[in-house]
Amino acid sequence: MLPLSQAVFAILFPGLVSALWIRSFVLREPTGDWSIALGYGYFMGLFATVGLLLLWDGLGLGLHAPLTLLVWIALLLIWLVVHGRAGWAGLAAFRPRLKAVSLRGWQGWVWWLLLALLLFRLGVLAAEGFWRPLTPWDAWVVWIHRAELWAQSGTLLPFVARDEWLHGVVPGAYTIDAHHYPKTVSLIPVWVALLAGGWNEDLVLLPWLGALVALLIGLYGQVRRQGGEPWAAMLLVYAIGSLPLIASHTGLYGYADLWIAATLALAAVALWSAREPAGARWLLLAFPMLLMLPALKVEGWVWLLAVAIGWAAGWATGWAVGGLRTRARWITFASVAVLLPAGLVAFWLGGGSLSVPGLGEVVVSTERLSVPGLFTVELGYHPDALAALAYALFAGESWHLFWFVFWPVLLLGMIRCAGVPQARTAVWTLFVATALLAFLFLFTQVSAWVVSFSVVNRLLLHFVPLGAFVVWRVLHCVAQRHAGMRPAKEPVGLGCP
Amino acid sequence: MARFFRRVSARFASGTGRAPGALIAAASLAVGALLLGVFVSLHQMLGGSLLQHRVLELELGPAVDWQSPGRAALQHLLHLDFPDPVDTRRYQRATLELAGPVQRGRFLLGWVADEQAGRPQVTRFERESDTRQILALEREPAWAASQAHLFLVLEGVPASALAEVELHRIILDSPATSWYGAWRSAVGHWFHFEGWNRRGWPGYSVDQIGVPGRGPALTIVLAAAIWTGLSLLVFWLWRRRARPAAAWLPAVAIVVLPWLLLDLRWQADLVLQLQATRSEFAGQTTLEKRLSSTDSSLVRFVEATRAQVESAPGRIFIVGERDDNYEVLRTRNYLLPLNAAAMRPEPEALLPGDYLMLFAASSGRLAVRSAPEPQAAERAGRFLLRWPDHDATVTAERVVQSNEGRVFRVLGPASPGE
Repeated sequence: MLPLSQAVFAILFPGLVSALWIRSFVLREPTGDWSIALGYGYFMGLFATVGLLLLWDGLGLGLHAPLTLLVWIALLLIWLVVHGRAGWAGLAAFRPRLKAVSLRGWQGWVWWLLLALLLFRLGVLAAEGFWRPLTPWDAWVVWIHRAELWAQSGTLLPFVARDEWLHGVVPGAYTIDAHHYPKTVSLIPVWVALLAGGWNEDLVLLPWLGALVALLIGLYGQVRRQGGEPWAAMLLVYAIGSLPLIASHTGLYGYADLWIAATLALAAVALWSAREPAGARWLLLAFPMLLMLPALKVEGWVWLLAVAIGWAAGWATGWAVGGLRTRARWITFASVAVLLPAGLVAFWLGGGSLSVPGLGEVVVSTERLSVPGLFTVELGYHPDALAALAYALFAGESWHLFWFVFWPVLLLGMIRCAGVPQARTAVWTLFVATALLAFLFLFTQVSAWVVSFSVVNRLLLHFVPLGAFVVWRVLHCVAQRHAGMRPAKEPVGLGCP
Repeated sequence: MARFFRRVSARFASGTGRAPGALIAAASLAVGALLLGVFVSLHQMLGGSLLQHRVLELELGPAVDWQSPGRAALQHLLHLDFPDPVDTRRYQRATLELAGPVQRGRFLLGWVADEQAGRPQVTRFERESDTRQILALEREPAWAASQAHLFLVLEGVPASALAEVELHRIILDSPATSWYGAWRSAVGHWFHFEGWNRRGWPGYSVDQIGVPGRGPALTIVLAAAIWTGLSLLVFWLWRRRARPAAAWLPAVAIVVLPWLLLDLRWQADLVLQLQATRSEFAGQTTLEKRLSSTDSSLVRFVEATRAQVESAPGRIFIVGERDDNYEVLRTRNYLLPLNAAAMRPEPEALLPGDYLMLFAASSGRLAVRSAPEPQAAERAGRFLLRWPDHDATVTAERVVQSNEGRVFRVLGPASPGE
């Protein structure tokens, strides 16, 4: 039991310390505060831990667990000193206000029923992951393979390409095809192993289970903070937690996709919250988590782009509602009106390549899109992927009824929520993301993986928790309008904050 | 009771909008379910195939690879290479189509199922016409296994006459029964437990839940979605007439209930899977779990290799049929922290002290033969490793031999005389 309790401590302690700091410096709301703090804190804590491990290894100290732990203890002590100066009353201000939750009548029944179903699901997945040996392909080929080696060696032994390994270019190096993949997801179980006293495959599950729980808690808090009823918040997290592919990525732990899905969802919601009056503090959560996306998986760069375009589109299209009231909006509108057709014409004429200092030759042509070191996609329409994509979305068993709800609600959001900045940005982001995915699935070589069903659902997973939140956000916005409540005021200027 | 129903129907019919939301949602879902049942049943009765299990077809072509024990043999075997093991419970009929009439011999369908401990079963096709033979599998008690590998047997034809036998294709399907039977079969598939996929067996995975193309066209998710859609339509029609306007909350319940039912079915699968996982792995160490899994022979091979290599560590090259197949990559992971790579090295790249793990299936990529008659005692046990696309050879000593493969320690390049 000792390694298990040490492993639980390893994944919870950085999260709890981060939650304390988030609660006291970012959150001022009366509802959802601790849920948000714990949900975001889990990810911020583990990502910061990974950063510290990388720092120690870079300084030649190896993956130094005691030093990392010392940093977290120091952060906890500093927090206690800062907030304990006023005595117990100062600390009591951070007490969770559980009595504020109103669970009367059918709402209470729904809340408790859904919570019970969720807890049962999590329990089953925990037992499954605990008993089952490491199963899924990429886990033992890449993510956990590296983690096991690093945990056993106590240092970041390098992984290199096959040719370099063969010719001994880097002494002591190992080789896998995905040697260039980001290290974060592998370093999280390494941290658990370092504190648990050694590599133990049974305990690798814990960070994945924690990621799911933290995602659900974080989104629950966001829904509550943004005015959702407790039953609606619980329904949202149940909807996410019930999805079969989420369950398989938790019970069959070891892939990076759950991490990217959770980080993307929490980061984007925090970013959209920055559009609220006095919401700049949310950027303290949004930016670090958004910047972690490329550090989790290479696709993170593309999703970062989707979030950025969605944000820009949400802001720029405010003219449709608020009119072109500011110079900045005029400039944006005029730029898009000129640059978009010009870009399309240039692309249609065959495109070209551009040498970017520090990056290499960026190619944008009708045959190929290429950014060196990031991605290269061959362009061409693949109609056979359409049937497979339709099956994955609407007939397969990975998503229950999610996509049947998501698409109509996204459309509803475009029509009915254009006047609400946060909802508009959310709808735009999901619209851009799904357009990017459709492009990837149908017009690039990724279509082969769609037809074989090896990638399609995993890439969709990246946007599912965020999509579920957007469903709630749009329905909440429509319900407010239906109830005759005034929509949030359209901000003037940059919109943020 | 009668009074209660009168009151409920009066409320519902009056369209006053005062009916309880739960009741409205329940009524809409009931009408939606009825509409779904009627539509799909009518479709089935009119010859539709929404509930029919997909047909499984394998094109055989005129030139197939019959396996015969010898030229005089009268019995020949043909492996049917379906992409996955066949779930026998889903198919009740096999049809063998021939390109032309076969004058002699008879065809039998054979299968090896997991549950029958690898014992092959065979049963004979009935001739329907010159080019078509049928086998009613629902009458075969041994057919009700779950996953099976299939093969075809041809009896009574000498090997020299096999060229005259021209096969076209084999089809597995379930013949259309009554609309009620089709419903029963579809519902049976919806509630069929798959479990996580394992080496060589399809199932749930991190890539997808459910295996496309194996069940009826109307999957359980599609059925639930159509049910939800019809129920929402019923609710919307009612709401248009309701005065005062009813709340939209019942619409949420109409979506949530089918979702909940789908999830309960999924939860039941997870619980069944957990029971299987528990009985297979609970209470075991990591190594014991690996030995209990489908990789057990691979793990034994790896552990035997580890025992030999750890005393004199060197680079390990794992050579299989391909560099990215399951055995090769899994072995690399099991060998940690030993430094192994999944690749076939060029002979010039090998250094004395390197190891080569050769899987049994890798023989085409690298040939092994005993070294010439040893001149001295110390040369006994030496082997020559020859690359089919290179002139150079390498001498090596064998350190592990098992059914999975062999492990050699490289001694150096072979001398010209070897």
